Amino acid sequence: MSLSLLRIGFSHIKQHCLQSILLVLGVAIGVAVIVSVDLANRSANQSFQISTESLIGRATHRIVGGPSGLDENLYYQLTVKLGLEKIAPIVQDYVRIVELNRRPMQLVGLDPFAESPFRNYVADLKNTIPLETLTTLLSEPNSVLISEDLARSGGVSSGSTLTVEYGSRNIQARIVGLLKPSDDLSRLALDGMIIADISTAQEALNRIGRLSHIDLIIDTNTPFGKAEFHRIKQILPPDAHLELPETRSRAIEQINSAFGVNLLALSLLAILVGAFLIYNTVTFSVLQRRPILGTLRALGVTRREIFGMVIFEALILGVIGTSLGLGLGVILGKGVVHLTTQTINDLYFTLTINNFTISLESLIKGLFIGISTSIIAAVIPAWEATLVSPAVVLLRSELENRISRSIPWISLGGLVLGGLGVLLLALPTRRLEIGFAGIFSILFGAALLVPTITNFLMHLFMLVPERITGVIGRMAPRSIIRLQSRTGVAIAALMVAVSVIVSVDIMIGSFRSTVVGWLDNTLTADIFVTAPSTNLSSNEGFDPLISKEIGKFPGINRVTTARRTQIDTPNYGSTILVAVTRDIAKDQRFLWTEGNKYNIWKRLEKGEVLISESFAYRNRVPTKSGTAIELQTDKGPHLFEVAGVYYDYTSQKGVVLMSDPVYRKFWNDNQITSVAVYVAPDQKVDSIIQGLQESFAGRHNLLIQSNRSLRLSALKVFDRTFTITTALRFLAGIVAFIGVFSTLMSLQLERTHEIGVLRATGMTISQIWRMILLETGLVGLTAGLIALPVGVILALGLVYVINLRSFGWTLEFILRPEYFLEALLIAVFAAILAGVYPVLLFGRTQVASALRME
Amino acid sequence: MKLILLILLAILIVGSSIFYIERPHPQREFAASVVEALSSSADTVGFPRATKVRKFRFPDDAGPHNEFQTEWWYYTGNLNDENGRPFGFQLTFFRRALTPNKKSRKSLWAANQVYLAHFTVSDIKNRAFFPSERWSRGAIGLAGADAHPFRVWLEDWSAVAEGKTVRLQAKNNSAEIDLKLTPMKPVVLHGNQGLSKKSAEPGNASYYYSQTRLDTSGTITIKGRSFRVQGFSWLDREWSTSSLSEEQSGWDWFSLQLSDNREIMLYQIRLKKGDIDSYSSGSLIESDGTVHTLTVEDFKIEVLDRWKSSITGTTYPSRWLISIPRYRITLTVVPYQPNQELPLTFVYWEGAVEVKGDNVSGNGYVELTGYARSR
Repeated sequence: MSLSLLRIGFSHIKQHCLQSILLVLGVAIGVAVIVSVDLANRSANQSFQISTESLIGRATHRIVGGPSGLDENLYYQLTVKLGLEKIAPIVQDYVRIVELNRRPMQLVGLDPFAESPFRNYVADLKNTIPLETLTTLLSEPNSVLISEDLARSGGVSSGSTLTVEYGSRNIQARIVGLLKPSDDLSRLALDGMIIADISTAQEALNRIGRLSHIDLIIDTNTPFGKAEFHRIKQILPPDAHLELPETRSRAIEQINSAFGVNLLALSLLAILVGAFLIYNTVTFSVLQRRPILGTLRALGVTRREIFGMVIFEALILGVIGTSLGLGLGVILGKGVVHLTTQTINDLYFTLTINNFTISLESLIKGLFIGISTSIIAAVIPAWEATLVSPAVVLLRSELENRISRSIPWISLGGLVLGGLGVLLLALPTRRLEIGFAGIFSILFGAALLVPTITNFLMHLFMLVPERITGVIGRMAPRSIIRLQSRTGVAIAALMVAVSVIVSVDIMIGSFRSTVVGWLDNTLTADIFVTAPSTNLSSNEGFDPLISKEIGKFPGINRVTTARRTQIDTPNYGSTILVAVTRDIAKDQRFLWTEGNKYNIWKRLEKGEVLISESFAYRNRVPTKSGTAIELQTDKGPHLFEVAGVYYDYTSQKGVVLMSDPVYRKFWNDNQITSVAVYVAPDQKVDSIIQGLQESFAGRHNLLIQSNRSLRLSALKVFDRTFTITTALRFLAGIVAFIGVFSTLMSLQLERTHEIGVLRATGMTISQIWRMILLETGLVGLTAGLIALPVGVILALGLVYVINLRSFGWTLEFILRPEYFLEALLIAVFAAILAGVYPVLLFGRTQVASALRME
Repeated sequence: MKLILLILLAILIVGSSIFYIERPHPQREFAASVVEALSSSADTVGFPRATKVRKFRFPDDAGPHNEFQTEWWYYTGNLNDENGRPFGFQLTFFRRALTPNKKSRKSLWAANQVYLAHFTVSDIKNRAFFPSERWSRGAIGLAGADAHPFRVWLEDWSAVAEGKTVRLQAKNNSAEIDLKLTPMKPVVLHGNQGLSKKSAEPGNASYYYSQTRLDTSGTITIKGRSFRVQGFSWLDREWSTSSLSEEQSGWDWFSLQLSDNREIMLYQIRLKKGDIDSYSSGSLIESDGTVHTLTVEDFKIEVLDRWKSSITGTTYPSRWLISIPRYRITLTVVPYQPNQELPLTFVYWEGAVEVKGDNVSGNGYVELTGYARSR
């Protein structure tokens, strides 16, 4: 390609600076969204991996027990009697440290002497820390180690006291030494950990005589390892079982990746809208230069060179936009990872690490998508440019004619794609990716149908008597139809953005009102008492005597308790058990019940269980009579008959609900997680809360909340979960807006000559105003009107397919008129705004100079 | 196109530079010796010390003396299978008290005693050495020691009394022993009736006794292949609170079992200045069990050769000429194989040696500590 051709390209970019800037901006935002979401996903995944795998270390197997863990005697049996060497006991749970911003941390109690084969960061404990420190760690109660980095960031040092919140009490722990991690992974892992001797952990976590798990390294590929494995299995008591650590982390990863796919889909949307933008801009640059291109061809420039020139222009702008996008993405990513971590903490498991790593892969992905999208979007206009025949400039009308001739084919394509999308959504698969493919397919199909629908709507508009619309009312729809090649794309882009906004709004709205309704049903007590540090992954609880004491408090009608624990069970992985003392059946909504709903509690008392919808969905438990699930209990594996499947929005892992006595019978655990308090009708809830707080102050550390505040905090978590979704939706909207703005503006600017003629033939400025604003308004309205049904269809897909597949939760589909109003307003507003600048420009243009341009 | 390539390259370079992080290399400091490590940097305040002569009682004194900071049970032996194939073994249990008084704690894991054990087998024919180490706490039965009946154990490594004999069992990745040891001679009290002074400082001493000739039989298994073995073992027992002083750098310890049914125990404490501490001493045990205490003037140990470990880079003496003029003894002591270094948490050399004299021969074990400073 010759330099002079490049120069022509550059001078064009310079002349149409604003359009170029908009294009760069559009690409930048699209790339930034992709990169930030990808970075956040990766970072969160890495945090997850570090927080689980760093604790697993090099263990190949893990012996786990029920909610109360394992008897420590088992460890004695395995080491002294069986002579296992690569074996390490762990007592661990999540705590909060007051001095470290009450952030969740893992208190890991271990035996420094058993560690060397397992975990890097503690393996060399007996070599890397002074002997006195080790002596203190072992012999002084409540002594702990933290990493140097953590100490620095928390403003504490060796000798400082940490207040450890766990269950209903606080422990004062003393930092007796600082760990210097030898590698980056250890450094990250230690950022969420407090290391203590196993004795301290047992005392602090109230696990005297118990271990959380026992880690093992066994090479089952060798005959010796196999024999060892069988010997271990033989002596395991019924409450213990061997598992592979990977199976657990894989299960959590699956859930986590569903979350990642959701975010990725939204970021793809942003780039999709960005592609529309690039396509529009490049098309215009070609259109505007048709005379020049014709001249060039006449001068002997080949088609290939013209093609190259246009692509190159797009590439240059694409590279600039992409580079900007990469930088923006990294900045944005930092914010997104915070939100992602928060959501994972709220919904999935406790992440103790806030890690943000700039991964090269994410940047390369952004680079690739940004640049390739720019090129692909420019291919059609570039090809169009080569069609300009030398000397004779192809008339614009011919192009439009060609476009309008192909409209039926485009529409047919749209119908096919749309149908395919519906089909994809209806496929009986659980793959989230296929669901999203369906959603995108519908979206594309709808975009392809835009020209036909636009024609139809414009003709409909023209049916309005001229009396009302005036001449201008006739001109506007006609010019939209006439310039289908441009307006069509603009309307499609706007429609895509608006329909996505509508569908996401409907989905979130449905989700929220489902959760609100569910909270109303299930939170019936007046006051709820829990431990303040309670979180998802912990089995902590408090003494049931506290519930008795609350029950005796004056003004209280009755109390009921709940125990929520997480167990590992071979068939279903990590599962949440909830044991309750009251008849909950009447407050639940059921997907399916065995027999009459009002007899359920009786069934539960007899030993049957309820499973949550997500449990049934995730584990494919059939909803039919006689179904039973096998759970690992402290008495060994036991089959529990399923009395029903109920709706629950507390966990995606799935919940098994049972009656308290049944739980206590099968699991050796006397702790409780929460107390629900029913206040006598004549009593004031607030004053009882105050009374309880005063009564327990200094003795037990309890979180005492009213029904209202618990509900509010639940909804706060909900809203927090959708912060990213909302933010991404907003960004997709901005890109679409830029697209529409730039398209419509170019479209109008291109008409300078036409406007000049109109003005010369006597059209007033105000008439021009009205005509252009009517045109852009119609574009917006059309986009908005098409977006409504499309948005609803997409929302149906999101609610019934995407949500079910990613959460395992069924939502009630709720439509509200304000969603539609919002969509129309956004579309019309964006379009009209895009018309304002050109009109202002025309107002200033002299008629003569506009005409002189020819 | 060049421009694009340049831009791409620039982005790649900037991107990848973010990931270049220099990793620090952890440095390990090795303590001079097991004994030193177990007693150095430690607060000895509150622990009783070996200051005066005491009456030894058996079997009580076979068991632990938990009030003292440091204690060990040191079994070594030279054994042969039916075909005369030679083996050496070491099974040592170290005990260390963390604090003088145990705090009352709820958790049974809370320990006041830490145990360390070393187990080695020397497969002399193949010049192979299998050292291993274990640590544990004296809690929930993981490790401990009792007097009635006698036993000391760390996980599944143990020395347990079975009547008059003691059964030793231990295994590591490559080797395993199951041996029965029966005393053939009375207990030997070293130094002044069992009070063995290690320096001029009062209390810098240990209570020290040995069983110098234990008839031993059982099996040694190496990489799955078992050998029926027989021979003699030696037990060293010491307990104290602190033993080496500031100016002392390490020690050379010899336990030699001669063909004329006599035994010799010698230790020389090396000073950092380079000479030998005057508190070095030894014992000569006659075949009838009579003990002659040897002072530093009574013996001379001359180093004839040295060997450098390829693992730690440490150089150890590896051939000695020992003379005890008063008893007209001159012996050459040569390791059966040079490679008997224990490259464990604390690096030292402890191995089977051959003894050659004019009219006498024998076997023994030699311990060399304080040579490995760091690696």
